[in-house]
Amino acid sequence: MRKIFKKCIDKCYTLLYSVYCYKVFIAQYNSWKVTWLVKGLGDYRMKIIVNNSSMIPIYSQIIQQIKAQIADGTLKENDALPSVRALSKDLNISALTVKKAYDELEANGFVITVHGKGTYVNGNNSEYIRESRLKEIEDDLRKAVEIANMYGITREELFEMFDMLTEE
Amino acid sequence: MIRIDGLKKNYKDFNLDVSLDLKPGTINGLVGTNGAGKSTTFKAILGLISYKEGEIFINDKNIKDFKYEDKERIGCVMTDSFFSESFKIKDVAKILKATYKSFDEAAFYKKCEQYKLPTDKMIKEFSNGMKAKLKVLTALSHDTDVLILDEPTVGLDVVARDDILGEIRDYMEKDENRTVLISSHISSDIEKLCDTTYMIHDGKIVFNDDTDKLLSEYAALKVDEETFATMDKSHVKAYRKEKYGIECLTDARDFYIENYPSMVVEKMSVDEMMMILIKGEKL
Repeated sequence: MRKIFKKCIDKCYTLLYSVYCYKVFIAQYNSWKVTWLVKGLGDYRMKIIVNNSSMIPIYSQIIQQIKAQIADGTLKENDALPSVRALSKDLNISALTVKKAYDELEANGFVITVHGKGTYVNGNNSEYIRESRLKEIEDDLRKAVEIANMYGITREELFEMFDMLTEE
Repeated sequence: MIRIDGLKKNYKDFNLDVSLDLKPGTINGLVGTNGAGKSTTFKAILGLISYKEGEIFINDKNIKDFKYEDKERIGCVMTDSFFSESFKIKDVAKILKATYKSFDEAAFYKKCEQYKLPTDKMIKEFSNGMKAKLKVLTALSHDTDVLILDEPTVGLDVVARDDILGEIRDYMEKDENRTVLISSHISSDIEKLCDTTYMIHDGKIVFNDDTDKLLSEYAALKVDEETFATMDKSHVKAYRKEKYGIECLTDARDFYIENYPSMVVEKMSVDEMMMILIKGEKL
């Protein structure tokens, strides 16, 4: 009688101990899962904020923001961009819009798409960045010259203004 | 991929005349008023109605040559719930298991649990939202290349709609060659999800382009009668006379922003475009 009773108690303890081990295991697994998720998110340093009410087309906004983050170093060479599907899901827009943005970035040398793997920031784009910045300045200067001509402001006056601005 | 070439179907008081070209890897929206021909088009694609003229291809195969195995590769949601109202979820699962070789029972039950569909109630006791979710889950429960969804989010609140649209995105993520054709009355569903938008009215396709072009290159111009008379209308596709002015549909938004800086130029939406095309006049 006592032997049977002792066996039952042992079995209960074994059962309780297994339940305890299982719970510890589950807790560990969940915390590991969270760490893995956070790490995954951390790999994408890119931040994109889309303004749906803006007149600027969404794919343009995406291109502008990615270019800016490459220029200021937030996105570094060989950083992976989110997949087209993942980004379209996060921004709640059509995948085609994201694809257009990525295609244009690739055409201008800012990113490279490796078939089957993903899209990565192009390392050799410092030339392109410099050139696009020069073009931006040229466009603005051209506008200034046009306005000057419209109002009869002379070349000399423009140079004076330029000297003053560049001395600041 | 889904392609319809010159489908013509005549009814007593309605004639359908449509062509569609949906590329693999795209989600495509079909919008139109009730009775415009959306459901008829869907039924034609699913081989549920006969037609004298036109050819329909799914995955490069003419649907007239479809065998059972090809039909299994299509998932669909139609407007009428096609399960008996006295079925419970386990009965639905039995039917799906017997119908589709690739039915994933465990995943189906998991999804039903995720969306809190009651396993102990009959379908007739389900709310509208639950019925809608069940239909979508059955379409996603087996392995398919093409999804045909006729108003899958009707009657759903914004959170439930977001869940369903998320399921469609996940569906596309798993296989880049899949194609989805979805119809909806909810403008934002189409604008957020669909790569292309087709508009159907009176049995004909009246608009078809990339959704992001609709949102960025098209616009609504709001002008008074005098301005309308004198302005450059070469980029105006249609217009609608309102009480206090005229609303124009253009596909060259930037042209009007640059050349008419004081003109009211508004972003276009799927709803707005439908209204102008249907209630307005073409130019």
